[in-house]
Amino acid sequence: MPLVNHLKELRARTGINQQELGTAVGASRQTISLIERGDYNPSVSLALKIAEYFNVSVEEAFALTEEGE
Amino acid sequence: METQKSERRTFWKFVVIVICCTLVGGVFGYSSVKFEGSIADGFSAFFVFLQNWALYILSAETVIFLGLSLVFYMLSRKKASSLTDEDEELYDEADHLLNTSVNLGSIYQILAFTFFAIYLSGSAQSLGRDSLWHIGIFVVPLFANIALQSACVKLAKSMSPEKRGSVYDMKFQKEWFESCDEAERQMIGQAAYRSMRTTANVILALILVAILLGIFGLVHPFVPLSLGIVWLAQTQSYNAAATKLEKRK
Repeated sequence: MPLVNHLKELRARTGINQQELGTAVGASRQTISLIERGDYNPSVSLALKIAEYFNVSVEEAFALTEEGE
Repeated sequence: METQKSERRTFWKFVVIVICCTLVGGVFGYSSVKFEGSIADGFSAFFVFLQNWALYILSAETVIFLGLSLVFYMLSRKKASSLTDEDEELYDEADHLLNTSVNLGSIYQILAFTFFAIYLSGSAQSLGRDSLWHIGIFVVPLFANIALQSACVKLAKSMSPEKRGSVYDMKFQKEWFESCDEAERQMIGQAAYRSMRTTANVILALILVAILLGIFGLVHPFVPLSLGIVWLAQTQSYNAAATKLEKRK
């Protein structure tokens, strides 16, 4: 099942760029870009850090979807 | 059912490969007896040609690869200088150009060492005043390449401030790896696995070629010996790292 994420929306809402988010959660800008594009599934700890940064639950930032949904 | 079908297909594929290899071996064995002199002469002539032209090939590849590496670095620097916080796609483009520059630099370096070694193998007994120029052709661009690689790392650091390491430091690769995050480490791991598989196939092919050339007495013992050392180093370092990681689990 593919993992979808709402990082771009969350970032837009908070007004931060990929580099700033990366620095805040201990990841590189490239990794944030890969996650947003759906090319990389973050580890549980990174997903938790991202959710914590935006003050949302992990499910609000990431969700599993059915194929073709 | 599907697994059985796939296993059968794999088996027949293997049989075809074995038959092909046997045929190639047979043809080569027959030819080695029938045309022993001409095959040996052909290879000898090719090796002499390589030795005679090594310096020219070295110069040409220096101009091509080092030149292209510089061009890609300049393009990346140009893109990087116009970056703003919102240009996230431009970041990736600049990054891609920089990676291409580093890769071209590494191709240049590998070919430079290879062709300089070939050149020396053909001129070691006749080293004279000209040799200083020849050594200069090898050494000067090598330093230029190190400077270019250093500039690339500096540019990469400006785009990814969390990265650490200096190309002048012997521990550069270790330090750089340690400054990578989980996604980058995963990519490095996957790329290293692909590299391990490719290298194993290339070494196997080269050992086979060395065995075939050995029939004509065209291979210095250093060739199979060095290939064997590389092969052993590759498999054993992989196994040692895998065992260590397994224990850590």
